[in-house]
Amino acid sequence: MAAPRKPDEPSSPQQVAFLEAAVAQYGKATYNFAFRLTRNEADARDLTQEAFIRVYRAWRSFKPGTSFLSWMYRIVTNLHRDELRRRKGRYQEEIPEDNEPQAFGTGRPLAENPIDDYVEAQMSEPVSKALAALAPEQRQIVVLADIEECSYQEIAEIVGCSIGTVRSRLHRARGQLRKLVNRYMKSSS
Amino acid sequence: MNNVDHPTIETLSDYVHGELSERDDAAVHAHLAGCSACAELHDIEARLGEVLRAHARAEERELPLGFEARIVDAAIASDASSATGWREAFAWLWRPAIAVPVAAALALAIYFGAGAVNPPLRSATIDATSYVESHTALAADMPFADSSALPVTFASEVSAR
Repeated sequence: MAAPRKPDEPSSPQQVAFLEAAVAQYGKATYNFAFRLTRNEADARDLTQEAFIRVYRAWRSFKPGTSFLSWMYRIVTNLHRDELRRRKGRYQEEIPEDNEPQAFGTGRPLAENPIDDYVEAQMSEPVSKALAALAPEQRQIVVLADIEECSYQEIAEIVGCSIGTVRSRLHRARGQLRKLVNRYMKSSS
Repeated sequence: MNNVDHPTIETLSDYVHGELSERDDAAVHAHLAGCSACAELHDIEARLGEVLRAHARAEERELPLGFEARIVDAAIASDASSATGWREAFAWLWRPAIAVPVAAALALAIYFGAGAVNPPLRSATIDATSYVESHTALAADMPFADSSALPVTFASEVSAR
């Protein structure tokens, strides 16, 4: 592994190019992953920016041939965990810039297949509420396993725990999620 | 696994996530084909994943306008500030009001500290008897003759006589 760059070494053009390419290719995925963890656009922006700053500083430690996205997810997950500890588990609710309530789903792309249509029409709000109501650690696991479709091994590496812990956390989280979705569906109908 | 040995909900979840061994995966697959109750539970597990992915696709966001450039600028700026940060953090040490007393205290500490680490040598002592004897030997006519008399008499010799 190459030696890490000393702090007073000037940024090299390669380092800047590496960052620009990483942001162009993985910026959106990282931002969406951060949003899924935080359920908040302001926090997602902060988390994404901080994650890429870490990438920029540690760019030499990335090993070609390994998954860049897994590395990003690990950085984002760690930053999110640190932030949760700092804020004691409570993220701010974002206040709309015009200070008016915003309708759910505005400005989002239209669904592209029948399942998406159905979910958008029937379950979007209950699922969104249920995800928001999950404990942050459980949400992390559900997002990684069910949305990002990572393997248990990948999740264990990203989150920093054993595969057994991933399995048990995922089972508990999915159980909790089923209950919450059902509850919010009943309350919305 | 047979039709009586129903998989647990955890096993079905592992099956849905493709995390079972080939042997267990095949056993669950075969079981689901013949057990409607387990097939229904499996559908619920599989459906939950589909719903979550569909919801994620529906709420997918584009990067805010200009955000990519802001990230790059912030990274370069943070790198520059971390490089000069340590110098700025300790710049106050070089102000004369602080630097002079600190240097003086440091010099005193080194001086006394060195004294404590390397204690001064004991003052050289001369054995008086040896000194007198060698002086007497030099003063004698035949310094090393057995009969040469000592020019001085020690009090201890007087009392011995």
